[in-house]
Formats: sequence, structure tokens, C-alpha cells
Amino acid sequence: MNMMAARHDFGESEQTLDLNELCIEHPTATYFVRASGDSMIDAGIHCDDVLVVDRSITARNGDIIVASLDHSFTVKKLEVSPQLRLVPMNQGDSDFRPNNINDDTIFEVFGVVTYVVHAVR
Amino acid sequence: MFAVVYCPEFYIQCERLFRPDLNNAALIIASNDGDGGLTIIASSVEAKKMGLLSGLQGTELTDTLNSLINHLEIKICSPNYELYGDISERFIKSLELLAPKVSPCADDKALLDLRGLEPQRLDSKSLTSEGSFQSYGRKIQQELKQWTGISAVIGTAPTKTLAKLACSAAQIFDHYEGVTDLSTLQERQSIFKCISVADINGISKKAAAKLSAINIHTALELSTAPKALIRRHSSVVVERIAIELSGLCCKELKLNDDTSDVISNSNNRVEARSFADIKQVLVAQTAGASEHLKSLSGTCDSVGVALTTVLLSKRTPRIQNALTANLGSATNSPGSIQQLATQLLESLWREDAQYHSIKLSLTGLNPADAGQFSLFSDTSISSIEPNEYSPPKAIRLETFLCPANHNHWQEKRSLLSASFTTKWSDIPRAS
Repeated sequence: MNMMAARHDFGESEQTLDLNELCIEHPTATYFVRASGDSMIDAGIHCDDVLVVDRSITARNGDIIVASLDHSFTVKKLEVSPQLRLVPMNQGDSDFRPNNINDDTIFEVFGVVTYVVHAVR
Repeated sequence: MFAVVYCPEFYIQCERLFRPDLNNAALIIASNDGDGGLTIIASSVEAKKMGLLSGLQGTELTDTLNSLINHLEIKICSPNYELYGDISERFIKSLELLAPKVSPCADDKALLDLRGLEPQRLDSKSLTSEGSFQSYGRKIQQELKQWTGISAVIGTAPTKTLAKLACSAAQIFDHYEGVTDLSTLQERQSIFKCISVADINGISKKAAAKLSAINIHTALELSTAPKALIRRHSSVVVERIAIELSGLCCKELKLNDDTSDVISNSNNRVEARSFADIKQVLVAQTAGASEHLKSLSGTCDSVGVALTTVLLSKRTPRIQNALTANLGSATNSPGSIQQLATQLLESLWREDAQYHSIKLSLTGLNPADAGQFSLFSDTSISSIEPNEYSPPKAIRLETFLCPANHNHWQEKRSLLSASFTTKWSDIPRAS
């Protein structure tokens, strides 16, 4: 039996898998950011990993977000209660401490991290 | 109903998007595009307060900068057109998710055609039909800001002229907080008193002077004056603007920046100086335009090429030379279009001239085979009468030509901000 004909018989043409389709739900709101340092190693984010950041998602408690804090970008876990704060995820290094966000903190959420691209070679 | 969406200080906003440290800085974007002088093409509010206004150029600019730079923190960037183009595309594509028909007017401005949208369908959470375009405008503003990071102002109104006015009002009057809806007569009259006719899009200084002579100074006076009086003392265009101000759409009203029936693209900047290079640019333009034409299932009957010279000095204006010719018969053949376009270029070309831009126009568009332009197959607007839509009349592509070397500006190119969204090596970092 002709395999090409068999595939077309199903009506829908399937195309080869595209990583964009997997990782990017809202293209106009998605930006790429590169991670620096080890503050989020326990979340699987290593230095130089590419973060897929979606601005259209409203950040919720527990989300990993990219934000501008004191005029520079940071990637941290967001905690909303009992205190609004940015929490690093690196239990092995006590130098990383949470940052509380108060009314006078210069802080703005950039977007929510949805995927992390990590190169193994 | 129409909406005009505009992003104030668009280039500045783009530069700040990935540089939060520039948020309150006095920032200017200065360009040297071969005209022989450094020119400010955009400046932040903080920089404007210091006298660094858009258009300031050459020695005047360097003198101002030198007098300031020793004492204050001024950030200077070279224009990052790749970044602005990418963000602009996101701006337009985000709008396309929010409105049925979006016509970009510029990098930072778009006209939305909302005809066919009923107030109740705009937003299921909206409580009343009155003010629902206000809440629709607010929703667009919030979604744009969240999705792209760009702040915009929005004006909504029953006619294009009013929508443009509404957008200006949204920018000027703080109490609107960036969203103005001019659906109601009261709202229109409250701002018409404050707007002079010279500020209305489409009315030139000369036309404003003529109206002044018959005692029409404000938008309010224009909208309420007898139309016959306006037609007698001014022009038909001004009369149509007056009609639109009173809330009635004027199908025949076509203003210079009304690009909804022209498909155009002027975001391209290419290094080209010689005839051979510029011919290559034209060939690329004809290929792009022919493709657009094919995607519309249309044909054109004329081709035009325009060459504009560089600005040699403040006293010598740019000179544009243009030629248009008929194709012989309506066609969409890329070969015929390219052949005619290159012939026109050869006729226009002057060896001693330095060219700033080349523009290609395909005009006399018609649907192929007496059918319809394929734009009409959009089902979301199928409830509108076909004759309410004007099919595209022209396709225009403009490419800006830069000299290959930027000479003394070369070192300043190091002030080009990173290609944050177009090069992997340049994406922003977060620690």
C-alpha cells in the first residue's frame, strides 16, 4: 500500500515537530532571556541557560519570573504571601537570600518563565 | 467605529524595555544617516526638559550637548532599527489579536477598523453598552502594555477623523489616563472647545487661516458651522473633515497618512550608493511587491519609481524625482514589473546625485479575473456591505539608503544598544 497516500487519507496534514509550537504560546509576548549565576540551580536553571519568558501570563505565587529589581534583571521564584518577595532556589549556597518587595522597592515583573533551554553539549 | 492606537516616545520605550536602568534617564537617540550631521531622532521627557528636542542637529546639537554633558547624566544611543522593527511587529500583531482590521500607519501607530463589532460583543464582562468602547480601549491599552511592554494611548470614535482627535486628546489631557472615547456628543463638545482647527489632522496652516477668516477657530466651531459656508470658503476636504467631526463617516475622505488602502513598508534601511547596488534594492522591492500582489489575487496596471536625494544642508531641501509608467495591460507578472521598474530607474538615475531613498509603487490595483481581492475572505467582517470597504489602491515600498561608511560617526556606533530580540548573543541577562 502506498504509505504517502495512507497518510493523506487521514485528512489532516501533519508537519514535522516544531519547538516554537511547544515552547511559545504567545509569540508577540514572548522574549528570550539568558540566565546568569547559580541562584536558581535547584529549579534546573543553570548559568547561560535560555529562559522562555511570557509576558502575557499574570504571575502567581510560586511562578519563576524575570523581573527588574533596582534597575537590573533578575530571575527568581515569586512568593506572594505572607510577604511579597523574590526567592532564590539554591539550598547549597547560603549567600543567596530572598528579597522582600515593599512599597518603595524599585520592582517590576517582566514576565513568567515557561521553559528553560539547557545545552548539555 | 474606529480606533487609533499610538505609542508615545516609541523608540525611547523600546530602548528602555531591556534597560530598566534607563527608565528615568535623560535619553536621546541620535542618528547620522549620511546627511552630514548628528540629528536627534527621539528624546525622552527628561532630555526634552534640558532642551534636547527631536530634530536638533549638527553644531547646534553638539553645542547644547557640550554645555550639558559635563554636569548631567545624558545617555545617547544610536538608532537600533532592528529592535524597533521587532517591537513594532509585536505591537501590530498583538493588536491583530484584539481587533478585526488593523492598518499600521507607522512603526508606532495603527488605525483599527472596528466596524462590525457590537458594543455588547466587545467585552462580555462590560456592564453597559455606553462607555463600552471606553472599556475596550482600556483593555487594549492594558493588554498591549502587559504583552509587549509598550505603553500606548488610544482614541475611539465613530469616524476616522474623530478617532485621530481622540487619540491626540488621550495624549494631551491627563484625566483620560491614555484612553479617550468620543462616541458621545457631550464628550466631543467638551474637547472640541480646546482644539484649534490647525491641530486637526488633515487641515493645513493655510486652510486653518482661511477658516480663521470666517471666524472658525476651534474644532467646535468647525463641527457646527453650516457645511455650505465651509465649502464656499475652504475646500471639499475640509468640509468632509467637518462632517466627520460631527460623527458621520465620510467614505470619500482620504488623508495623506490614511494608509488603510495602501499596503506599504518603509522599515528597510540598506547600504547602497552605486547604481548597481540601488538596482539590486529595486529588484528586491519588485519581488516583494509582486508577492504582495499575488497574495491579494490582484493585478496592477502601473509602476512608479521615485528617488529622493539626501539633504545636503539646511538650505537645500531633498529633491524627489519620480516616474510612473503603464504596464500595457493589467498584470501580476514579477518579470514585467521588474523590467519596467528598472527601465524607470535607468531614466531617473543621475551619476552626480546622492540618494536617500528609493520608493516603488504599484498602482491601479484590481482583482484578478474580475473576482474579489482575497482580503474580503475574512469571515469576521462578512456582515459588512462590500461597498463600505475600499479595496487596496496601491502597494508602496520604500527603502532608505545609507552610505557604506559612516565616517566620523563610526566610533559612535558603539552606542548602538544590543540586538535584544534579534541576536542570540545579545539577549538580555538575568541573574
